[in-house]
Amino acid sequence: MVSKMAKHDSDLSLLFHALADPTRRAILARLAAGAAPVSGLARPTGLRLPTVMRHLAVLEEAGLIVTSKTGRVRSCAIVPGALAPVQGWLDDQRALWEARLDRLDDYVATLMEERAK
Amino acid sequence: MTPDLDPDTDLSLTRTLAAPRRLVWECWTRPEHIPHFFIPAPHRITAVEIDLRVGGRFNTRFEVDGNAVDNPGVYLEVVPEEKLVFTDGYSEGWKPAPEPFMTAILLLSDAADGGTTYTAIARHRTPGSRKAHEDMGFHDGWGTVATQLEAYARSLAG
Repeated sequence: MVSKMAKHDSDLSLLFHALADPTRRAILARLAAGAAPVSGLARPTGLRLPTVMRHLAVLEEAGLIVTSKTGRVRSCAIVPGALAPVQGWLDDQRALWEARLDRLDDYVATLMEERAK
Repeated sequence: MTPDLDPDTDLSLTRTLAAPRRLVWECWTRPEHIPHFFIPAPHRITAVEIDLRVGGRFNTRFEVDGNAVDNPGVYLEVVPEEKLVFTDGYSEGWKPAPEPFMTAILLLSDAADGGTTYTAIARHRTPGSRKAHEDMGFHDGWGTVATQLEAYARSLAG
């Protein structure tokens, strides 16, 4: 459980880190409309190509995009479903608390019975 | 009183129990009770230390897959049988935690027939929040962004 949580946490940290930057969010929004070559992503941001490449590397490491190379052109595409873990994190906490309160309900009921004796 | 909830990081669960407030309060504040409900089997709580006052310790030790995991925390607010607030953001002596994660707020009130209604609110710091602060420019809230992008992505995939 600990190692699984740690793995989950580190994946999430990458995701949050990737989403935390406005340029990267702009790139994602652009890619959400369709795959694009790296040069096409660089132009509207006004950023230098190496800077854009660095942002793309962060997005790719977080599993939000994939890049592929055809000839001399590297193009990027969004990964559908990649953001699901962001939603899942809070759901995990909710499940933990639901179960905790279920156990408390049972335990309190047991205590009530014991003390009624 | 219910605090504002951030849908991206906060949870609120409300239950009604056929037990008096005194007993529900006791379950949350006495070390002998905590191991009975705080974490799921087969994991166990092997130690609980409670000093029930503001700034007092609420330390638990979990045994998870044979490993001991310490979870030090403190109480931030103690209103007997009414409100209990604790966090892992500090340990006793107001020592800041290296990786604070959550604040829990328990609110107890009377329900019909001698029962208790209680609300458990868990407010979380997101796993990436420290990094996000460092990066700045994180004003929109990631939930909105995540939702928008997910919708876009789904429409693409569909």
